[in-house]
Amino acid sequence: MTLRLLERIHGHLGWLAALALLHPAILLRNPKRSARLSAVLATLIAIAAGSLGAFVYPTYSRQLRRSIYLASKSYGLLFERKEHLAFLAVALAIAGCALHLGRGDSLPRARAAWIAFVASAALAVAVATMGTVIASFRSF
Amino acid sequence: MGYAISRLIQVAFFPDPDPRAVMTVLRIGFFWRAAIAGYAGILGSIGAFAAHVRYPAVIDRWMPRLVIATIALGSVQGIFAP
Repeated sequence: MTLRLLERIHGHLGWLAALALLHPAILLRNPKRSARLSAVLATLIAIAAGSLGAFVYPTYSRQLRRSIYLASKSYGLLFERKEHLAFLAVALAIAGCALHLGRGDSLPRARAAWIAFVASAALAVAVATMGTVIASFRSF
Repeated sequence: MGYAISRLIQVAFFPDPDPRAVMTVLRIGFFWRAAIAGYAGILGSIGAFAAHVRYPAVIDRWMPRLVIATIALGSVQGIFAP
């Protein structure tokens, strides 16, 4: 029951993170624009969603992974893809946030921060979609 | 990049057993890869910071390309080498 609840919270946080990451991705298109609060909050939500996923992961690995693979190898591989892309999305959000906070007057660093947030937002949407598909296939 | 590279090495040289043939797992590979990536990332950041102090214009110019390379490598690994 608790795992089921945590899994649901993780899923909702994932979608929230995907939407939150869109905000700095849109705002930072202008390299002179400052969006410190948006960048920090979006990154924190992404970290929270990822941390909750990591907390549930060992139990998933022991209880669910095998049964998902036995039922459908393609869904099992979809979960693995989601896990890798989620790590990339969170890492890019942290990198984008660090680059934005430390950009100073540098236009290339501002551009790098924008690229990181755009990719992070796109990956987060893909990951949240994959997560929803897998959770509707098999859950705790 | 550290995460993608460590996973690609694992897939190429130390492939996981088929999950359907394993009753339970004692070692969570994802956590190990995340730890390796975190370690490599911290070391890389320190190196990049040191290089930035010495060659700020060069590091700034390469930063967007480095981010794009990370996105490309991570996405290719995530999709084609899960």
